[in-house]
Parts: sequence; structure tokens; C-alpha cells
Amino acid sequence: MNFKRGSVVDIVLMPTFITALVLGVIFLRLFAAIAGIGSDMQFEKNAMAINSALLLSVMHDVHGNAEYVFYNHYNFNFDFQSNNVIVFEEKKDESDRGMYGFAEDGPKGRLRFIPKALNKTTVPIAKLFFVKQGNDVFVDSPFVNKKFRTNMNMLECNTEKTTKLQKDIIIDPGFGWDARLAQEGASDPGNKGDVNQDIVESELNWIIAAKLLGYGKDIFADKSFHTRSLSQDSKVTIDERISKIDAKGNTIISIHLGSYDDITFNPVIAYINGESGNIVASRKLACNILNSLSDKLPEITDLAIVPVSVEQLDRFDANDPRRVLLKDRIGVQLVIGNVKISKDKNILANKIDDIARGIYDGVEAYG
Amino acid sequence: MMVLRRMDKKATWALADFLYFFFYVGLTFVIALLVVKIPDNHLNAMLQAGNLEQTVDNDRMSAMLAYKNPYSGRLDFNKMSSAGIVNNQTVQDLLIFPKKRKVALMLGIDGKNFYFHKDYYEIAKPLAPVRYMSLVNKRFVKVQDDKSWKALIIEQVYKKE
Repeated sequence: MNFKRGSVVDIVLMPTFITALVLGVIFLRLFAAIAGIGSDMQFEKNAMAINSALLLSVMHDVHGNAEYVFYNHYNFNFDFQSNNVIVFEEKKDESDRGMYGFAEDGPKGRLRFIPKALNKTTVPIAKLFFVKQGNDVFVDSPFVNKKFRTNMNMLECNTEKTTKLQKDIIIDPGFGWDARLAQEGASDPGNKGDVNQDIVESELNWIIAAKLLGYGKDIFADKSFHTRSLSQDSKVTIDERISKIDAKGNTIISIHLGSYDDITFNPVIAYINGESGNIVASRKLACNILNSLSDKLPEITDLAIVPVSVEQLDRFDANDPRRVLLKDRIGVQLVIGNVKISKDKNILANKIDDIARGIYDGVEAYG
Repeated sequence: MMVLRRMDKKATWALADFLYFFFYVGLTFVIALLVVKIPDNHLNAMLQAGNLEQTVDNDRMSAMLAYKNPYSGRLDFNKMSSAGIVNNQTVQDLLIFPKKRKVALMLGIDGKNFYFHKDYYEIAKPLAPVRYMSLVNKRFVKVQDDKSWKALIIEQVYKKE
């Protein structure tokens, strides 16, 4: 074979060859870039991160409660951190992860954000639940957390600083039963429930009160200072209760049970004195106790805080138990559950400890 | 004459080569870049949230400053418990912004202004709405402790995306 000398060099130096080479490199890079547009999921991850962060901002602006179901079409993992959402496929620090920030409420804010990482296990995370309930905003999923449940009954409590509770809170177990007085027709056992009338309000009120004192000896007044005995069911008049409350501390928690014909209605109602200078503090205490009870007892169907005019009761209804909500005290009267619900389904028969613990936790949460 | 013609021919080819490499190869590169960048920019434009987040955040701050009705527990946006609640500490304590976010905040009540990231505010505010954006919520509130009406201003200044 004969090669003409220099022919390879000539070919390489030909403008056509150089052009083809340059264009080849450019087009290879171009095709790789075009192929890359569809092959990674950076756009989708960014979109999900932005949507999630914006949704969290909106959840922080909700008044009342809300639950939003967010479909995770691409089966991504999520890390909801303080101020930041990270969306990823394999590793949290992968190069094409999606990331977007959002503003959390500060110390003057209304709500608290609870961070959580949602990593898929064997089951894909098909749905995420963005929840605002009470004072909390969080994201969770039943595909990751089997215990996940929302509670749309929770109330939004005031987070501002209010009058501190003095460490000798008086407990007022409502009504009172005295066998001797009963024979004379002067003792009131309060509401009676269940078909066997096994649930008697006066008895349960002092049992709950005694358990409450057991949980919080450090914050409640000594045993003998409460409006009636915490050792046995006993009768005390409203005026005697008021004079006991007047003698000590700045806070009163009164315990009563509810009675309603509708057995699907199982509420906790908190009465507060609407004319008191302590109404803000009383509402905050009531709110925290109700939320705590609702959190512990999913059977509770409704929560309500009702301001009452104790002045009117003093004038026109001397026997109304809400008269214990003195004007110069932080006070809450709880009317818990429904005695008419059958015994096997009734929290008043089966969950007395949880009720007492719930009230105690609510007092603690007041701060 | 032959020499000159030769030189002319050479110069013409050199010019042609230069134009070829400079113009066509350059053009090819530009087109390649556009093919990659246009869809990328188009997709990213779809991810722009505009001022949605800032609007929601202003609304949140507005709720934080609103009067809380002690009977119903609801917020009343036309009232404020006291003008004193708007101060240097409050403006720091309303929202915790992400560290990377460039944002300044101004709260004004009755002509008194309080700032979060004041230096940034002073640079960015005059440049809004060119390089920066300003979102202002202004409303009159009845202050409960002296029953007077005062103008409440909540302003966020942030970098334009």
C-alpha cells in the first residue's frame, strides 16, 4: 500500500475535519444535556419542596383546624425541618434534592411547628397529611407512622404570658352525697348515669379530684384545703365551697360530669367567669385542659369554653355550682363526658386515670 | 500582478475560514446552549411562587398583632390591645425566617417604625420594585387601652426572584 506523505496531517488540518470534530463534541454534549432534562427528577423535587413549604406557610395562617392531603406522586422522601423542607429520593444530601424554606412562628406567634422526617420503608408514602390542630402544625403520614391520627377538636390556646398560677390550686369536686342528709332530702348526688345508675357524679367527682391531687401534689393545695373531702363522698354547700376558695390561692378547678340524652354526645365543657379580670388566664387554663383531655381521650366528641355571668347566678340561682368561679380567681369548671353513655363505652367508667392525668397535664401546659 | 492575485486569493480563503469558524461554529454553540437553557428556564419559571409566600407571611403577622377577644377567643383585626405591643422586640419575634432568605421587615404604629434587618431595609427599599420588592399591609386599628384609632403598617422588603 502506498501512502502519500503527510496525507493524515492534511486530513486532520482540513477545515471540514476540524469543523466536524468540533460539531461532534458540541452535539454529543447537547444530546447528553437534552437527555438529562428528562432523566433526573430535580424539577419534580423542587416543585414538591416549594409546594410543601408554601402549604406549611398557609397552614400557619389557618384559624381553627385544618387537614390537607398531599399526594406524593413520585414516591419521594421528605424531611420537614425547622424553616426548611428537603425532598429527596435516596439520600438527604443528594445533589439534585429539592429544598425550600418557610417562615416559622417566632416567640410572639400563635403556632408551633413540629419537625418530622418521613422516609419510606417497604411501603411508598402515597399521601402526606398537612395538619393544623390546636396550636400545632405538623406533617405526618399513616404510611410511615401507624399511630398517626388527627384531632380536629383541638382548640387554639392563647400563647401570651398571663397571670401565673400560684402553687396551691384548689380543687372543687362538684355535688356531694351524704347518706344521713339524703334521708332528710338534703344531699344531692348530681347526675346519675348508665342503666344501673352505677355512674354517680358526686362519687366520681371526688375520685377524679383525689387522683388529680395524686398527680400534682406540688401544684395543688394540701388535702384539707379543697372544697370537700378527697377521701370520701360528702356533702358541702355552695357557700361553704366559696368561703374555702376565698381563703387560699388564686386558682380553682371545679370538676363535674355531664348528662345528655344523646349518647353519641360525649363532650367536655369548661365554664369560666365572663366578668372576671382573669378571663384571659381562665380561658387559657380551660383551653389547655380541654386540649390535654382531648389528646388523651379520643372518645371525647366536642370541646367548648363557655363564659358565664356569675353575678347573675349569685343573684338569681344560689344553688348553681358555677358560682364557685369567683371573680378574682383564675377558675375553670369542667363538665366532663356523658353519664348516660353505657358503662362499657363510657370514659367515666373506664378511663378515670386518663381524665385526672389529662387535667393535670393541661394545668402543666398552662405554664 | 500574479503575486497580488495570489495574495488576494489567500486572504479571501482566510477570511472565509475565519467567518466559517467564527460565525457558524459560534452560532451552533449558541443554538445548543439555547436548546438546553430555554426548557430549563421555562420549567424553573413555573416554580416561581411570586409574592404568595410574602402575602401569607404578612397575613400571619397581622393575625399575631390582632386583638384576641377574651369571650370568644377569636381574633379581631380591627382592634389592637395596646400600641405598646409594637416595639423593637416584637418585630424580631413575629416570624423566624429561613437563614438564607434575604428579607427585611418594618412595623409601623402611629408614625413610629421598628425594623428587622434595618440595614437591608434601607438598601433594598429605594430599589423596590426594580431589584427588590416591597409588600405593604396597612390598616387602621382601634387601640383598646386608649380607644384611639391608629395606623398599623406591616411591610416586608425582599429580593426579587
